[in-house]
Amino acid sequence: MLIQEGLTLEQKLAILSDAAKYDVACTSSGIDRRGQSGSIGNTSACGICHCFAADGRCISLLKILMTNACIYDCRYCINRVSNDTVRTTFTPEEICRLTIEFYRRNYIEGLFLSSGILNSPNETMEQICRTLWILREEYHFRGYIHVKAIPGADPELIACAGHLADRMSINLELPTGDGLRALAPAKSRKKILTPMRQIQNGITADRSAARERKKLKGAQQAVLPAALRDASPAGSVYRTVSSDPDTKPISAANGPSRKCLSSPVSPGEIADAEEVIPPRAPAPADVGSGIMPLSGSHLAGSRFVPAGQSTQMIIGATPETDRQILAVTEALYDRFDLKRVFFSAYTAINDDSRLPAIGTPPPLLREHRLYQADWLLRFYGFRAEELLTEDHPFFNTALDPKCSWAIRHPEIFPVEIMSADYHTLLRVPGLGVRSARRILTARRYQHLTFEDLKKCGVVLKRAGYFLTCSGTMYRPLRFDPAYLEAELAAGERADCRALSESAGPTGRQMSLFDDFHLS
Amino acid sequence: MDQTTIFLCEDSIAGICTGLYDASASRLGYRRLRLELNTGANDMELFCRYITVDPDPEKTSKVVRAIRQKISEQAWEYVYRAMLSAEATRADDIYRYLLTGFRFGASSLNRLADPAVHRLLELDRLVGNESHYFKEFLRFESIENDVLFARIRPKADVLTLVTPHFADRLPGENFLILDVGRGTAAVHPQNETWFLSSLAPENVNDLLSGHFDEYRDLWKTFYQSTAIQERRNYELQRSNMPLHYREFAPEFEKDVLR
Ligand code: SF4
Repeated sequence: MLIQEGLTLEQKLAILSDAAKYDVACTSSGIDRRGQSGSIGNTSACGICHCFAADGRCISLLKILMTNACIYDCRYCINRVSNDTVRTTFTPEEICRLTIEFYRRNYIEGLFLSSGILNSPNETMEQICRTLWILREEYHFRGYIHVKAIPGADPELIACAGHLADRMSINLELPTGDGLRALAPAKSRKKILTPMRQIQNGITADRSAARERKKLKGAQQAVLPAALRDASPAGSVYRTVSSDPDTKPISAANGPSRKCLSSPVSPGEIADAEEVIPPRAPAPADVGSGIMPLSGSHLAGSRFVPAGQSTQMIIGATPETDRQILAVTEALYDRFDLKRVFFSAYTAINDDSRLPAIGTPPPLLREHRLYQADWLLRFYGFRAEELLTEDHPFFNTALDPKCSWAIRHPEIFPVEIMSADYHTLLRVPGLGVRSARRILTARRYQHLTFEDLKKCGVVLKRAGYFLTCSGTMYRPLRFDPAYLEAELAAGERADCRALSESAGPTGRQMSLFDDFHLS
Repeated sequence: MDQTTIFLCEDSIAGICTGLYDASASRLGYRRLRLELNTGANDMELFCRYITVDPDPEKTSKVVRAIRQKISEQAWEYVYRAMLSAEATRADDIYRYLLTGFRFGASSLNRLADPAVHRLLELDRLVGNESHYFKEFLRFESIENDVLFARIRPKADVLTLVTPHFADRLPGENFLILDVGRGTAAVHPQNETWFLSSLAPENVNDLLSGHFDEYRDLWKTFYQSTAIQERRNYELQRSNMPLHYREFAPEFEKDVLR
């Protein structure tokens, strides 16, 4: 491996951001953290994109590798040891300076730090921790930090990073253990899921501790004279979370029953891992670290991964079906309590007989459909097995997953606008969280007609096929799946062009913002 | 035929509020009056009576108090943001909403199928979206003495909505945000509260000349290399980041010598 010496900061930046570009991240569904005098930075829960790259994907973080001098040889990766590329490593100081100076100019929301394996997982993780430590403690940076946990690193190091970062992620890399064995021999499901479980337990422990603190504080405040209340040392911890991080827009409990844990497709080793890794491992939040002076610093009181954990899978490098991928996704949400699962359409960059040939276009439509389905799992109360079945293991390329589901369920539709409950409204194609809420609000005050719905800003282009107002349909029609499919697919083509086959975290977060923060 | 009376308001918070006050005090009734902003070039209609409204601080504060107390704090927030919008009809739109607002109180904002309520929320959303865009796309440049300087050219008057975000985020910085179109500037001295000021365009060049900010180039490098060429999609890029917001972003600057 050729380690290039004497590169300028600009050359290093070009190499190490190019090497990190396939990773997906997004700062929304994060946390609100106000600024503080003597520090730099705050964070915003709705997510702030700062720019959009030529591929249309959002740029919100300084997304870089600490090093691309990786000792592993994952077949799909551009940084694998067997590739002949220029190798370099940032110093912690360089990363901090870039982050702060970019942040001051409002180029970024914070740092996304990933890395190749520098000599060993521990050495890599240690160096990452050191960097975050300097950024938080010496530069007093309060902006957003997303950091990768390095599989195989000691739990103490992972715990340390968790106290410094807002979000952590460990890439699942490939949807199944078979894929991993074939393409990433140095990694295993266990090596990936163990730290994932550790972080999950740490987050859970941290949240209940935070709730206790809040209760305690509430009790104290009740007896304090009003004049003293504001003087309570709320600001002494450098990170506080104003809104409870585990409130999801729609709690899973309200949706259709989530008791069905054994999905028809075995999510492979996700389930096996439950046996290997005890769900109640000692909480890493309590574990100090020999490397960083954890106690006696701000860190001792800081939150643990307050913006939650995410992961990422590569789509299209291995032969899994959409159904398998979605089942794994669901298992990750259910069992590991992940905040986000990201999908990365495989870009064929390596010449390798086990992989799609160089130049194979990345499967963007497939990635898009997976993100749509992911959205349905997280916010619309759908279960994976409702969306894809053994007979239909792949998404319809012409229709979005919600439409495809709806036309397979003529027994449910059309639904009546004045009486359908929230969860039924959410299942109507063309109605989102925002429209469904608007309907609930508006119908309290008046009897709604289709005209009124339009005035409320509800778009009837698609929803019109599935709704009735006082028993009449928007368009007189028979509920014929074949006819509907053709009609809806025609509309979808136009939408898809507009979306250009790319949504989810690459799409604008404004839609999320619109969806959940207004009326 | 009844004659329509048009209240010509000055384009400012006080101007619009005074117009709202005078219109309602006139007891003409909503069918026979309209509020317009005085642009100096209004199309005069033949059969209308025009009344020019003089901004009046006392009437303004009465209107504000009435909205906050008789409708709600939230309604005042919506109305305030609507006043900042660039929509020509905003004064009249707010007047129409207040008819519903004073009638139904706080719950008026839930009457989504009422066109006046719908319009108010639309104005609020336009302004809210634009201010969110500038929180994202505004770019500071480091000038003399490490002062951060940003230029924006918003359609709505969002400077007062955008600045608090940066004041919270960058408490230790001396920064200046200039609304190029309006000539207003928000000034934030290090560790102090920010204030509004004005800045003449000819002074801008002085501020910018003779400084080289190396991080601009580093940022451009990053912007280039973080894109995946195989996924190139300029249409998506444009819909996510409309051209209007790129004017002062270094990454979209043509490589010419400044
Ligand atoms: S560990 Fe594998 S995926 Fe990560 S940088 Fe090294 S080769 Fe690439």
